[in-house]
Amino acid sequence: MAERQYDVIVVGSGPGGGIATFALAKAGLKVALIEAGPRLVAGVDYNGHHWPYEYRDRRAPNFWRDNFLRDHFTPVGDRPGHGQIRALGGRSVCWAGHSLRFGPRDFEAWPISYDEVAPYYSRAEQLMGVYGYRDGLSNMPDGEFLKPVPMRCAEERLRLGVERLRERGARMAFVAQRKAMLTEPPTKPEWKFRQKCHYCGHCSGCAVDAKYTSVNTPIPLAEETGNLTILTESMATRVRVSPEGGQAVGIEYKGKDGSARELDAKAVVLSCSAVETARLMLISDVGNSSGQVGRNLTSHFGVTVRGFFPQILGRDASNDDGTSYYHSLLTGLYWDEPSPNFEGTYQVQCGAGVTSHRRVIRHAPGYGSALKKRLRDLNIGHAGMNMQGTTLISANKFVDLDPDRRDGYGMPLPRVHLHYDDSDVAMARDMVEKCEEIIRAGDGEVIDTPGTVEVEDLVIDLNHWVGTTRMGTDSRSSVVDTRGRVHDLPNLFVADASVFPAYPEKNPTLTNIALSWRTADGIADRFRRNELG
Amino acid sequence: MSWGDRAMERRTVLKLVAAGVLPGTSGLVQIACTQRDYGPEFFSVADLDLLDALTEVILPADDHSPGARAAKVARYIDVTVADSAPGTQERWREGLRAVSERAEDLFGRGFVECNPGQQDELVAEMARNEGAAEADLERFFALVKRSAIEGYYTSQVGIHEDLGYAGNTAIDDFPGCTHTEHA
Repeated sequence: MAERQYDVIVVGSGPGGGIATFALAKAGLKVALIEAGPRLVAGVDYNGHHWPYEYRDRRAPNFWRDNFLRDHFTPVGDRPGHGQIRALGGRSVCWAGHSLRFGPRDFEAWPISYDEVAPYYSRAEQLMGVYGYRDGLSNMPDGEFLKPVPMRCAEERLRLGVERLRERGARMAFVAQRKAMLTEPPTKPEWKFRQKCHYCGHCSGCAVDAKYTSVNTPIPLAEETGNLTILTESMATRVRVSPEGGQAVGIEYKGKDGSARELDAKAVVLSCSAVETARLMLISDVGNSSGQVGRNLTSHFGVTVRGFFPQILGRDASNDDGTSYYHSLLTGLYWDEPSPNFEGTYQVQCGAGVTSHRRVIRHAPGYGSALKKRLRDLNIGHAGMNMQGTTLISANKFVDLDPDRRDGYGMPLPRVHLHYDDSDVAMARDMVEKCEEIIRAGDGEVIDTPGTVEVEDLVIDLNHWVGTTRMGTDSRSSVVDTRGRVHDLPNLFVADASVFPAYPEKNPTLTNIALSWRTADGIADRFRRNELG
Repeated sequence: MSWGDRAMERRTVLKLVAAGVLPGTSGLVQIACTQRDYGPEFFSVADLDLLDALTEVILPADDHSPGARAAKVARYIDVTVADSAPGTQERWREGLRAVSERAEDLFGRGFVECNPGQQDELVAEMARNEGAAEADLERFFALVKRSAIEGYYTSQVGIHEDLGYAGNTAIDDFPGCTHTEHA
């Protein structure tokens, strides 16, 4: 027997679920937000400003490391990871904040255009507070930016290298990062739970709430409407469907005491992340007439190259923390002319400097005073280049259910299948060549490189999975329509990055938030037109 | 070893510093007080002293900053090994025993009792095939060095005095690179 009637149940409170909850509650709908984890409090459950030497094992608290799940999926193939946080806000609490618009070129592979999404990018940026320079790039449009944050010394050397290569005809750009952090005082009412950034570098668990999270912006704003009920430590175990199968009627979940319960609603929104949304749909056996649920899985992947710039050693020991490690970005690669050697595009996130909680260079040869000097120089004078390329969408990458393993809720664990394609390896090789070339062009020394990349060198981004409930206009080849509605069930929606039908090199979260907001507005419109309930 | 021997060793070392054989003293003057107030959790007192001396050779006090001894790196290794699996603990016990035996073979005394030149000679032997270590002592060097680096650069000495790290604090504005010659 269901407990009570809601207009909408939102499952999951990460970036997609958080914004959907906000938009639906603001529209006057009664919303139940269900989250498997607890509500953690910034400044109490996680903090910045620790020193490693304050701890026995020299490991200062770190929100991501201390909270991500372990052994919660079955990896198959080339070492897939699957990042998952169970806490209110999900991974929006510990994301890096990188907020890059997908460009018009990127949307050419989508059933909706850049112009259709652009107003939602603007609304998202204004709510989140995104800083950045207006770079005027063709396929990474400028947004509604707060005061930008500049690069550090070694990153400037990389920019110099790129400028020199551009003079010789190379097609690429080197720009400062754009992140969802308040670099200006929180003057807007939407920012009243947040503070201005103070550049301590503890962005993966920002205790001052300078960085946008679901917990410091959309969820408390939704609570203020009086339309939101939050169920924490409650795990959605199944989407319930009407006996004739034509409608979602709510969900089944397990509460804090472990007992199975039900919730009724007129519409259900899944925002559990690419792996978990697919898993819940497969377990519930809903929305999969196309057979595409769990397919089209892709993420970002890469390798790391590091350079050393002796030119910058003479400077004062500066405070390089800033907004975490990556302050710059190599982009604009293969936008205009695809590579003949691989499919897709990549970008390279670049960082530099010494941080207390993430000393980057941990090895140099030898011992004695010379070793100390080398490590000191390398940490002060290095730049790190971390590739972020899109894995080729292919039959070799997908999510399904593990027939043999179940979690503590009795649900089958998801299996994540990752087998790199030749195109992926070719892309990584190209990246290594390019990064080495840029370091040398900036008069630097390559100090860390995988050389000729093999599959074993590739590292998947365990937090960037998308594509498992792809958007499309044809219900035979896609799972949701262009407003996030599952083709098979008129009142079941997906509001997370699962819906991306194609994936550029850019970070997913801003687009996830923009699209999920758009999907929530579509749901509210349907309620207004009495099409739901 | 008694604390009297410690004081003796300290005098010897200070003489070597004065003679220009060794640079810097800020770490060395702490020899007599580094271990006295600390009861090791895993290693014997003798092994902790050996580890203290060995890590000081790898990351020594010098003109720029204090070394592993001042940073209490041996204590850091002691607690991490105490928290480690039995196999790891055995590698450490075996490794330190091998270092002691090698010091006896070469110089007829324990590593701690060796003079700085002898200690350096032994560590140079351990480090000679770094990156392609085969012999037990060579492999043990990689383990000690990795742990010493981890302990040193997560210590107050390593972070503040050696690296000169100026962050983990609140600032109003992030200036970025302000050196025109860098860009």
